[in-house]
Amino acid sequence: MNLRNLRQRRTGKKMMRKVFSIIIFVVMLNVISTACAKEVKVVISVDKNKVEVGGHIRLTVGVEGAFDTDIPKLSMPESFSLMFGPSVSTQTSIINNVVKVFRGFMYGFSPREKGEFEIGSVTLEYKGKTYTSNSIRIEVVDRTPFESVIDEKSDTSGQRVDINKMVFVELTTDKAEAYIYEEIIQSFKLYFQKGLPIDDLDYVAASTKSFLAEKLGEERRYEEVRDGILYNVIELRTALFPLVSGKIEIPPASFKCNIIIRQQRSRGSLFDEFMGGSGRRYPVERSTEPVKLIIKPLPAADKPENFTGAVGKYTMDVLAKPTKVKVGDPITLTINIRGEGNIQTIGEPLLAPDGMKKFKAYDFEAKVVITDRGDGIKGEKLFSKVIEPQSKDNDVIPGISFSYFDPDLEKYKTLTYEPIPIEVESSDIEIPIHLSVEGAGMVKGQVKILTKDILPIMSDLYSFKNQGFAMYKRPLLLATVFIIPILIVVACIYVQRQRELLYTDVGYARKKRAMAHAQKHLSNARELLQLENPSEFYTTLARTILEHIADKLNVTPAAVTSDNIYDILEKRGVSNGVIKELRQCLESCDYGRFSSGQLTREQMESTLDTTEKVIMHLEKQL
Amino acid sequence: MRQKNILIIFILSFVFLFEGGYLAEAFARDNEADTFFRANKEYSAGQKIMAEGKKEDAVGNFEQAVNLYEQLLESGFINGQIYYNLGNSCYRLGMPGKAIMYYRRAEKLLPRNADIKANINLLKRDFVDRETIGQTPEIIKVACFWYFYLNLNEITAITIYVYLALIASILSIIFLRQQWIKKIIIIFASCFLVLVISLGLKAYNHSVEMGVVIADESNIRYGPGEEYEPRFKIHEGAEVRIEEKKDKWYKVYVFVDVEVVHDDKGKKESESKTGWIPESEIGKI
Repeated sequence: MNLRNLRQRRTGKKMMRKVFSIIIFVVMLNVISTACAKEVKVVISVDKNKVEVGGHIRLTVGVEGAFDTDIPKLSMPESFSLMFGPSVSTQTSIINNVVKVFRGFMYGFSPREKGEFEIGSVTLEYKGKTYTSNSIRIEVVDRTPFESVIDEKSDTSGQRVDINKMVFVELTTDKAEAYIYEEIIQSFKLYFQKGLPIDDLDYVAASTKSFLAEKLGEERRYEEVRDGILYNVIELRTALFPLVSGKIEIPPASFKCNIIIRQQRSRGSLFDEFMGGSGRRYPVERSTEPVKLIIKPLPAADKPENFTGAVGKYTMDVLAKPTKVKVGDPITLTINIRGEGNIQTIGEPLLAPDGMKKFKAYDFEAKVVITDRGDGIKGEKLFSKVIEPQSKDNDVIPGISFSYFDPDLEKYKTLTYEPIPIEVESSDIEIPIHLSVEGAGMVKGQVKILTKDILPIMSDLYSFKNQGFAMYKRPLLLATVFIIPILIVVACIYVQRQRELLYTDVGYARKKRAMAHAQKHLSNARELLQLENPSEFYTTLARTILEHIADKLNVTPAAVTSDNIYDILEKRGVSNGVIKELRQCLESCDYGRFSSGQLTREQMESTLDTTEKVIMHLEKQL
Repeated sequence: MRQKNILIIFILSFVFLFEGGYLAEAFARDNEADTFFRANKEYSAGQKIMAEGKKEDAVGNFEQAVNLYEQLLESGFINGQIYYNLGNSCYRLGMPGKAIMYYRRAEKLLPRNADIKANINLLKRDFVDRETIGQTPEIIKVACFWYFYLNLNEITAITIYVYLALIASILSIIFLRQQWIKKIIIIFASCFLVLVISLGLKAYNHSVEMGVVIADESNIRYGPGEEYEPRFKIHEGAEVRIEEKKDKWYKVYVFVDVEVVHDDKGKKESESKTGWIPESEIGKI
């Protein structure tokens, strides 16, 4: 039983293999037949079209659409020596269900003479037909020192490489003139020679501040022949929507990368200079030319009233659900605007305002879905609006209209949707009274706002004070408030300075206090007068005068005597009249001291007055 | 002895005057508070009637409230609460333009009040014109909080207090000669400088005359007169800056989006947003 089962399993496996093989065969046959069904195309390309005498050039003959061809016949100039080839490679690729077969024949040549040469058309005979390729012009020049960005010092090998033609960039737009808000497709292309190993790609996009920019899909990679050289191309595309009109320039985009160049290790290993291995990194930086655009404003003529700036091509679908409701129940109106253009910025469609009076309407909610970013922005904008019929008489949702500008037709277009009939029944529940406009839509997970009304009045009597008194409008008050403290500060500084002088400068202190001392002594003298003690009285007066002068002049009282006092005062500029008075006063004092019994009280009072006068004069003049 | 008596009499009379003024104000405030209370009562009654669904009946109460509030203002008693309540009453009477005008006046006096801002925002949602007044970034509001959270009188008072504190610290250093007082002087001086600048800016902002459109729709004309062509239309609630007055016309700069027409293209944006409007259609803030 087991053996039987084992045999059955083996037979089953063999059958499976056969079926699988047949499927693969059929698929391959299909692929081959599809490939064969395509037209055969022969293309020749070179790695460079300017070469030095003795340099090396790599020529590739590519046959598209056939994989079983003979070796094509080359017609090379005589001065070109074959160094290598043909090296045959076959490549099959399936892109978007299209099968591509490519057979490449690679040769290496070295020119011996300078001049311009044409590599003639390559002919290929296949299934009785002859196919010819394009021709390429090659310029052979003398050996010249290489001028490029490569650091000469670090290039120890002496091998020079023409990098400038190997990598370049282009910035283009699909149109040079457009309307404001119209879609413009900007394309940045990086060309680098096939097989050139590049690394650390860094693309700095052009500044698009006058545009609204939307990236278009992923980068595109393909091959392109330019001047006979086969390039790999990386294309980055962006949809631009101009926001201003006039002459606008898209500034240059720049691109940086490193080229990895393998060093030549021995003579004769020639053609695959850039292929594989660890090599030197050469930084390369390229920038594009600026692109100039003319942006036209939208025509003012025939502009619909409800036009909100949509430019492109659109269609509109409307759905209202449910259409049978009670008064106050919500109806969700879904308006789908679909098309090509800047979907993000299209404005709300218009509901006929007259018809909306019987509805309570909430704000639109919008959702944008971009469905295609291939050859432009395509998508839809879904507007949702909740409306509530307020009476049984409402039998239709008003018509909806949406206007846009078609840049191809250069005309405004208005999409209209007919009024939608609805059935409204009376409500079982009393509709609450709303104090004000209600307009808040409900978001999932949030509390629904039932009523939107102004906040209540204020009635805080504690802070109910007259705020009409504007302090800043009273310049006199402000001046007083600000100037008085400054005056106080100035006065305090003065007082403090005086105090410091009195403490530190003895002469100043004596001078300042001289009058006070004199007043004190004169007061004593007055008491002595009352006591009728003439001797002491006159002595006090004489001492008062001399001490006052000594204080004023900051000298010791002993230094001032009746003999030298007049000279000193004269030198100090005291007037003669005062000196004379002083002399009389001192003489009276001397006389009084020594003949006290003969002087009357009146005479003593007179001398006291004279002394006071003299001291007052000296106070002023010293 | 005589000097001491004079000083005591002077101090007593100063205290009497101050207290008398304060008491007089307190008595006067009692009257104002009574009117304010009655006006609030009228408003609340109107609100209640409105909630019962009798909108027409409530109008009388709101009008009475407006009269009482205006009576208070005419008597020279100014308070942010009166302006705010007046704004609410105007809104209830279907005058959102006037309501904005009163809210803005209230905002000047009560800058920290969130209710005023909430009501302004609510009303502005329903206005026809889209305004282009830029909001001050929140970080600036936090960094210069005193500017946004104090009214002009409060900033003035604080500036005076800081100034007096600065003076007191200067006097202290004159007599005490302590080094640490220097640091206090620097702090007070910095605060004083900042406050003076703030005060200047605030006073300048207050001196700029602003207005609100109180008519349903207004034509902004090229010149001060009906004979001039209308340049554009603005609607109730739109805020404007008053630049000039001529006869019964204001020259205003509008803070709304204005579509530039063909013949205005060569002009600057500020010129294209300027025009003349009748005085009666503008409520000065």
